[in-house]
Amino acid sequence: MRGMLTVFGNEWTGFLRSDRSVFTIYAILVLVWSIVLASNMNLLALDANILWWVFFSVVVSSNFANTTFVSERLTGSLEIVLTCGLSRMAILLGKIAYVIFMSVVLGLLCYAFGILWALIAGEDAVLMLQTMNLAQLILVYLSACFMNACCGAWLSVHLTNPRLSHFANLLVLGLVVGGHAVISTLTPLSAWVLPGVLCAAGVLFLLLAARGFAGEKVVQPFTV
Amino acid sequence: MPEEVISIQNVRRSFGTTRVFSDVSLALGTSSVYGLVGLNGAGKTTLLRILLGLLKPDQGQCRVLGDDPWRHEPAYYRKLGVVLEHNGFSGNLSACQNMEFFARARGLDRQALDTYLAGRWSGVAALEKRQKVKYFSRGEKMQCALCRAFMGSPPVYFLDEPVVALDVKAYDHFCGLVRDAREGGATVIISSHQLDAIEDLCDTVGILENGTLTPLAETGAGGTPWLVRCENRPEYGAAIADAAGAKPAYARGAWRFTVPPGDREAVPRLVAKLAGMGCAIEEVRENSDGLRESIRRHYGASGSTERGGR
Repeated sequence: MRGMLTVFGNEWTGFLRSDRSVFTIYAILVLVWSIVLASNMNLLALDANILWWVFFSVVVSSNFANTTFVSERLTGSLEIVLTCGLSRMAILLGKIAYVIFMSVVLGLLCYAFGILWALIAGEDAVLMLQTMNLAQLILVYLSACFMNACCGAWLSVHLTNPRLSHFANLLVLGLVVGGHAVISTLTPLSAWVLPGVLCAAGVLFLLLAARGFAGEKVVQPFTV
Repeated sequence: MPEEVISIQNVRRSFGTTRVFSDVSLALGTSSVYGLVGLNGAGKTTLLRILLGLLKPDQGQCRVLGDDPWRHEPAYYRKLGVVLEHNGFSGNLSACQNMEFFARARGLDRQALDTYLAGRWSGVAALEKRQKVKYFSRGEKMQCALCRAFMGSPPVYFLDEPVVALDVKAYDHFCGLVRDAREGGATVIISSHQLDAIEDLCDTVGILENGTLTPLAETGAGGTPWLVRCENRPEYGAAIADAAGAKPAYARGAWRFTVPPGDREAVPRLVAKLAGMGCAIEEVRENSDGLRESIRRHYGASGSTERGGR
């Protein structure tokens, strides 16, 4: 646990000391996305709204997974981190926790701005909050972030071309969500099935990533 | 040999169809500094990666301090000082912040880190800068990597090209750290094309070539090689042995001998003595190309072409 927190703390401090341009890009992303979400914040568009959140999660998580896992492997920095005295599992979990944490922080900001824009546009705040299934929304978003972070970690070990990691992550999420959508048209599914499937897929990718981290492929250089 | 610290037995390793090692064996004890040389692509870094548990040997056995590197035990890594090709620092953090992370990873507390930095690295500008590491020069990054490697005085060091881009002052500091580590009983493997560093620091040198590790030379445990070009007379040899404290060898028209580290008066003393004996000295100089010559001779004998080097 201590090792995991050490890795998490190092990633977080590194982010806080990022260049100003990094914060600007994330600010633009959050503002633009919050406007899109604000336009869907009503009861009728709940399903669509949830899919927008899922899509947002893959944009954010795969980006942080890319900087945390892929770029470290690409630059060779991971070799030093792996030999610094922390267990490989602690390194993997610390980085995944960081990716999820950052995705949640940006998701919260996006949500807060979305509500603000909706209120400015004249929506009834009380009605809006009453009609939204917050628990379902949060669960789907968290489980999507978890799956994306674990999938990003797994892809970082196995992809030979890091440029593909965003698309590969998006493809994997698309397959899971698309599969869920197809099945739900054939037979009614509980609202908790999607987060359940996302969590199960996340656990599977976590196990695969842990296996990849225990091998030597994790330090093999990418062929770009 | 004292207690065996590093033991490599009949290690084989291939990448696809390319065989890097066909049969590599090595045994190193405490208080030793081993120089690993070889052409580009000979497998020096691969051997270090195997010792670090980053790569698994196809065949053979590796033990470092009795541990199998491939088990990836955190306790094993805490006993190692490592410098690899990539510095591994978080570019957005300062040197000090990076050191804090690696100290925590090694189980050192803040006080131990401060004591270490104040004791061994005070006055080193790179470590005192508040600037992000990504803006550091290559030499500054290497100094930070060395600082990390020697943190906590581990008993084993694997240093891959540790003197690249170091200035004179930083190089001397690094040499001091390695010598202190050896005196403290540590085992050090230095892989480098910088033959001066290998010659300055290493007790023994091995050359990786055609998948095997061949012992190349005893470098004289950190002493400085010198040569005096003059006649080959036994009395001159005796005078050199007396002044330098080591038996000289006469080859290619010159006496070759090693001056112990720190003995700055040995060579002037010797020159005065030889001059007093009526010796016609043609040349006196540091024979820093000793190892280089050995390597050239080795490649000459084995038919390879030297591409590495200074």
